Amino acid sequence: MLSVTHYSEHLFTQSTPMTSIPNHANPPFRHWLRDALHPLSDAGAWNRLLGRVNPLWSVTGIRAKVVDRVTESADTISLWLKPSRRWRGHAPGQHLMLGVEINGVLRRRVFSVSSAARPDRLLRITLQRQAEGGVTGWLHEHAKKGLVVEISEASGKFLLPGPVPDRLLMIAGGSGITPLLAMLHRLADDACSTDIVLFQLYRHRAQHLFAGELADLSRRLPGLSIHAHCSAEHGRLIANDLASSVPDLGRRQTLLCGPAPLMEDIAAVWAERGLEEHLQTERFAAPRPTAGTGTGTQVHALGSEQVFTQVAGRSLLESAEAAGLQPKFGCRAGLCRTCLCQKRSGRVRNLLTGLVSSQPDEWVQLCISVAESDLELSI
Amino acid sequence: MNGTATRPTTCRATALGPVERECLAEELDAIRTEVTASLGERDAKHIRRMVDRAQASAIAGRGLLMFGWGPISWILGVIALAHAKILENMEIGHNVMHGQYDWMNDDSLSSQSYDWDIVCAREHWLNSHNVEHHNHTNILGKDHDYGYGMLRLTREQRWHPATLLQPLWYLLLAILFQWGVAIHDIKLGRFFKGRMSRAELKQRSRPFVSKAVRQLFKDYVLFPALAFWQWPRVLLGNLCANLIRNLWTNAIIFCGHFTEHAQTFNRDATRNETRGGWYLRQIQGSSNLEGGKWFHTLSGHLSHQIEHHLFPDMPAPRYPEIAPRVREICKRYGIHYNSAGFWRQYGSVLKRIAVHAWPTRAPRAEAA
Repeated sequence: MLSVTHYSEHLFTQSTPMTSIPNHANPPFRHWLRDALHPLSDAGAWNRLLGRVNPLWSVTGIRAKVVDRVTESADTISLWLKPSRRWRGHAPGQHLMLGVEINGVLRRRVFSVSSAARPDRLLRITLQRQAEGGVTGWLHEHAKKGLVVEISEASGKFLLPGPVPDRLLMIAGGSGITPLLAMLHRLADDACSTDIVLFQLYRHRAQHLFAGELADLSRRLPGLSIHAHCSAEHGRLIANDLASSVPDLGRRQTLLCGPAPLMEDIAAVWAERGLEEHLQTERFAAPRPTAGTGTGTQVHALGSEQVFTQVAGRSLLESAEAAGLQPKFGCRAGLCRTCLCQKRSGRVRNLLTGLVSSQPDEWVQLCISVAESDLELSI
Repeated sequence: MNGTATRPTTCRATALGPVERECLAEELDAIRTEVTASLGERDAKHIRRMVDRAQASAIAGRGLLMFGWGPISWILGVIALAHAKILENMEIGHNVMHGQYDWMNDDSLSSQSYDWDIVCAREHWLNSHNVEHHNHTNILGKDHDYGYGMLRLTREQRWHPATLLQPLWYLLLAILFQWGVAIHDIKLGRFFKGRMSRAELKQRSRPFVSKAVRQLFKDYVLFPALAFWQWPRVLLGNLCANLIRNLWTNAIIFCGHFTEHAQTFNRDATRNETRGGWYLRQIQGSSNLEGGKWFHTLSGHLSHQIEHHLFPDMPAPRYPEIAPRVREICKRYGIHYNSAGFWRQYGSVLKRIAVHAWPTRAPRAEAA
């Protein structure tokens, strides 16, 4: 569950190619100079040249080298990365976007950092192999010492509260332990005496992640008590029972990260008890669309913050126009790519090629595509 | 140009009925689907190799012009720079801006952001080329690339005494080709006919002016200045490199649609065109050039104009691979697959320009 895209809104502020279209009404000087000096000003060319000298060097992006690979469980590995100097570090709980080129295509995915800041600047990400494959499957097969990947600056607001409170409750579902693990390392490094209750939920015994590491942490953190719960052996832990087993729940700040159903259950119970203020969460997947509305596939236009419906037998472009949106368009026949936009999530079928796009961040031609699931589009 | 819409078409009656056109579309779509599914590292490597090659060639060329000494290094510098410009414009710029490499998800090779190294502004190009030319290929009055608004290439176009001078106009267009392409989408013709206000003209010209100033500054101020006392050598070298690039791109592009057997269409005949009909028009309105691997690369694979017009967003190195299949399909459907060597095709283009400079008569209205 860990590696599914975080759909927090700040991620969408990542620069997309759309933003680099020059504004000719008032061309900025920097752009002017870049054009005048071409090809000397071509960042891509310099990156390739520098990359030949040292694979970590780049004038635009941040690159990181895999320095170690650790098997955490049958379907989960951790990668220790050495980022280039451009990387500005992270706060425990934050995530970063990792990009690898798979068969010629640059694919990106978001991962939580599972380590705290270290003097040697190494960082660790932990990834569970997803059923769909994609980035996680590829990394499981190909990630080894020396592999160079592209990373983004860390971002995310799932952080330890300002002054660390006296009492904390952490709830981790499956690989949702990763951002919490980074926080625990930070607290241990600071020799913090906070009273922490950690509920670690996992399905099968084989999926019990970081058992040894957590045992070490509990030695360094006198206030840490760990409750590991294996649902295959002890049955599913009901959110209400979990809440009841913590007597001083009302006085604890809760940090929650895990699969969507768990998060929804917990959020509902906390809301019932009037404790929403005390709950901080980190999502690993898009909020589920409100199912069963029966009105057809919903498309979320991120640029204009509007939602429209895929009209049966019409293209996405026509559906958007029917809903009053005005995406750019040109030939309306799949030739010119004026209506090209990036799809953040969901499945789209190209009517011309019949191919289905299901990976995040793929490009879609609106005039010849139809939605096959709920979508998020950057229009 | 406008009056031609009502004249009879030159489009020879094609024996293909609606069902056969439908089958043709299916067969061609199958090729597209197959190639799209197989895109991968090979294509990514190709385009990156081209970018590296163009950049290395540009640096070598500019270096030889700026720091070289004597006529041989000057000639080599001009050749290297012209080669870089040709490669950047044709194999990289044109193809990337068609979206052939959008699937790579690489911002530096995306049709949404790539701006090529030529005076034509990208937004003008995306409209006049990708939207208008590729959609309305060789339709009189709709495809503004047909004769570039200054040449008469078919009997249906109106003759004017000034048309007699069109071989001269063509020579000027070839020499200044990048400028012709750059002002193309401003649509000056409309302004002169009084169908565009001065304010609109100004608005439309803005991207062109901005881009042109930058390009002129680069080749005729910045790089000569960087060479200090060698500036005349650099200035002249850049001028020659641009000239070579202009002549070459012009020749390749004119061979794509204006050869002897490349057909012209009229608006009425293409009004309710099906997908199969569209494919058919792309084949009939385009012509291929035969040559070696280097020739194809330097033409940006526009030597496979037919395949390019069928699948404008397919990575260009795939065109030679699918060409035999397209040719075989054409043979089965009895469609003329227009392909010949460069000199033969270009010769027929020049002949057409010369012939139609004279008041050739439109055929009698047999179609009407």
